[in-house]
Amino acid sequence: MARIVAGLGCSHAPSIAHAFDSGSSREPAWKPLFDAFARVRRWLARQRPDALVVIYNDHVDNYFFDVWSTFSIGVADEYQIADEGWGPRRFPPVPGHRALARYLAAQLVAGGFDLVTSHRMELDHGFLSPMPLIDEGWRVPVVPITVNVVLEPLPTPARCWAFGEALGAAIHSFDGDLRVAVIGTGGLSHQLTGPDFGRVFPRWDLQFLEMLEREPRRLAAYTMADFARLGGEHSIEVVQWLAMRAALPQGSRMEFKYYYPFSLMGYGLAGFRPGQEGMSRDAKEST
Amino acid sequence: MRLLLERDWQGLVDAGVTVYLLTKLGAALGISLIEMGAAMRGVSREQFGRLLKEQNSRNRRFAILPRDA
Repeated sequence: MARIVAGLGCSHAPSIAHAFDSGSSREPAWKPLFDAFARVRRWLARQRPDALVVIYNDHVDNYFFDVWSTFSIGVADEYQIADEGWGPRRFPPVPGHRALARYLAAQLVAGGFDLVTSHRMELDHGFLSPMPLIDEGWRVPVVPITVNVVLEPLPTPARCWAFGEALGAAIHSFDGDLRVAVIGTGGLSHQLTGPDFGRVFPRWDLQFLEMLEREPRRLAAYTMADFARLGGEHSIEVVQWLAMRAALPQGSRMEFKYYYPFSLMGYGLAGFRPGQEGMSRDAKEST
Repeated sequence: MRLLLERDWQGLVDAGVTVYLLTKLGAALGISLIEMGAAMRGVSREQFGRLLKEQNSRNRRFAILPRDA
């Protein structure tokens, strides 16, 4: 049977990609964040994952307003790099874990999540800002999953939590000796419109990380509007961290967290070591 | 169209345009997100740069980083 060997939440701001591509990752302003990512890369490699399930959001690169999915999953052998306006970044296509993806899609739909299955998905910065820092050279095949945080109506955080639970159960029921890491990208605080443009909310970000560790189900009771008020309009991407957290077995523990409030963003990274109790999850605890 | 010609970024947002599309307009027009942000806040780019620097130093105490960073 497959099992989840790591959970990771991480920011995906385009600034990470710009700093990486322009070679400024060793400059004093960026070095702390890239050092944290380097730690995370080594930590993840030690967990020896065979597949990375990456929950992120598209930013009008794969989807457009004519058709937008609430939840979608890539079921392809490989994924192309999106052109976000500056030309595609120079990475080879990202290998997909098609067998796991197809199984997860079937299980999730059977379990009541009518998600879109996509045979062709272009990955944008929601995936591509952090992933080269986490799995250099695409050594581990991926299953990309998107959540709609752009076009109303948005799913509720409670629904994203439930989706994560169903995803975790589906991974654990996969008939194959697979070690799977679940990654949720986005956030933390940022506000990219209006008179508060550029405001970062560090107190909330740290509270979010604390709650994600100790009482994640309470976060699932928040609304998207709550997250927007507490961490800025564009921080609602943290529902992807919630889905990741919900996918982890009961008894999972946060192993590390890094936080770097800089420029327009509260950058966060947090790693979880899954509990050993397989199918029973935090969701089943009475809280 | 008028909002775009006038480079009224906040006007575009108020009209329902997501910032994720503004960045694509910025890519085509050679205008950075920071410039758009300064305009939305109603300050010059230089003033906005100073505001961000102040925010950085104010928030530095909240950082949690690897020890050798």
